[in-house]
Amino acid sequence: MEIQQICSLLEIDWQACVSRFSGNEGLYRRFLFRFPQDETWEQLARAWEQQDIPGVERGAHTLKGIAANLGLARLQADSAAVVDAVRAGRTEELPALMEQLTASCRLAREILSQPVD
Amino acid sequence: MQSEQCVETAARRDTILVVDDVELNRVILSEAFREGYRLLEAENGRQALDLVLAEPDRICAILLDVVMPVMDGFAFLEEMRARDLLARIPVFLITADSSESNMRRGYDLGAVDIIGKPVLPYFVRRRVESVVELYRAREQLGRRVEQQAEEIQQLGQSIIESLATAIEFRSGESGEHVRRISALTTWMLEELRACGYPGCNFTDEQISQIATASILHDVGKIAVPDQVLNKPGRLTAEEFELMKIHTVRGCELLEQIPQYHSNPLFRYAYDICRHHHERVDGRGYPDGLKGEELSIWSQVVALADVYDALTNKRVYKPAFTHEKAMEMIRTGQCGQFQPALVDALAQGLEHHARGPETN
Repeated sequence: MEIQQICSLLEIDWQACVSRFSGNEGLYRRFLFRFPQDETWEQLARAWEQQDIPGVERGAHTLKGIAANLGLARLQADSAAVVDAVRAGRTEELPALMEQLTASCRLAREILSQPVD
Repeated sequence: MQSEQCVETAARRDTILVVDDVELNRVILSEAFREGYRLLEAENGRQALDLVLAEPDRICAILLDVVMPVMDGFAFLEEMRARDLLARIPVFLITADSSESNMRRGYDLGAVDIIGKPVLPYFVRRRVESVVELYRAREQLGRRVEQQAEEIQQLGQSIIESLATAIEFRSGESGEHVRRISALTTWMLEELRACGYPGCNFTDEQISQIATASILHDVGKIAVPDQVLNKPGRLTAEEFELMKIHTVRGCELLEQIPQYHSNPLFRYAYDICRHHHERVDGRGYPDGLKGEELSIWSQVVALADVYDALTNKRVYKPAFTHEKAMEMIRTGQCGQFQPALVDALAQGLEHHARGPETN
């Protein structure tokens, strides 16, 4: 897959992301393609499975930060929605929001696991 | 050269400490400062505190996450404040939680600025660097002021010594006499303080002020005619009256000094000038004060003056040995002194291997 394709599928603003890494493109790439191995998602999924709501909040909060730094806009928005729902006590919305987050996280992991041209 | 040294010390602050439990966040912040700074990273407040305490004079700024395991950002700020480090090292909170209560808490705990996550390196660097510059300039200025204050004090001291020496010079004395008096005064006061003598609980600064004031004990001799001051033989009663007047003239002279009323040194000097020829039994001059009426410092300088006069040659007498001088003092041949003060003189000389000149 080409970088351009990856960018459009994951809504990444490449230039903005590289400048977040102070112009060090190699460093950004390294962290971006390391995302599929990040364990935050597993921790969050486990917490959700056990209905550990503070754990869900912590995991979603960490994921939101990582997504923001890597420029994964959709993932950032979906994690933020989970964090906000927990903080506002709207737990009834969590099943739908977690489903959305699971989908966007899975997509990001899949795409970023592809070999890059 | 001193000011060059202080520039060097401030320039040694070259390290930015990045504190965040998430590696990605540390990497992004560190990358922003890679150029021009040395970087340290910590995963929580505890680790960060250890790094700060290891080299508190090298860190120029701390970029601090709030939510972390072991010790969070707020607890870290409290530890820094408890150790008085926040005045020297600016701490920036880097937080995703920009709620009013969170920001207020950060500022109240002493953070210098709060930067929202996700960070934009260019702006973080600008914000951090302007504060680092401010702290650096403030630190340099503070050091420079301290040094100048010390230089001014030394200058003041040497002016006092010059004045006193010029006056001593008229009676054939070198500058040694005033330096010896000042050393003897210091030693006696230290002995008296060490043995807990009443009214002698002086600070080092007070002892230093009294020692400087002691140098001025004879400034009033500027008003005594040469032929009286340098007469080899015994003074007539009339001449002795002229000589005695140096005590009163001395403190009158000091009263003309503008800082007189605000400077503790001059208050000591006034008392010493006026009363360094008084004796505890009330048989001294000019006021015939006795016992409790005399300050401890005027008694100390009186004794130092007598001892120094005895052990050195004068136009009217040869130099006596230490033993002879102490015997003359103890037997009251030079007027009455409190025994405790005479003991302090003996011990002070003992501890400093007899004689201020060896110091």
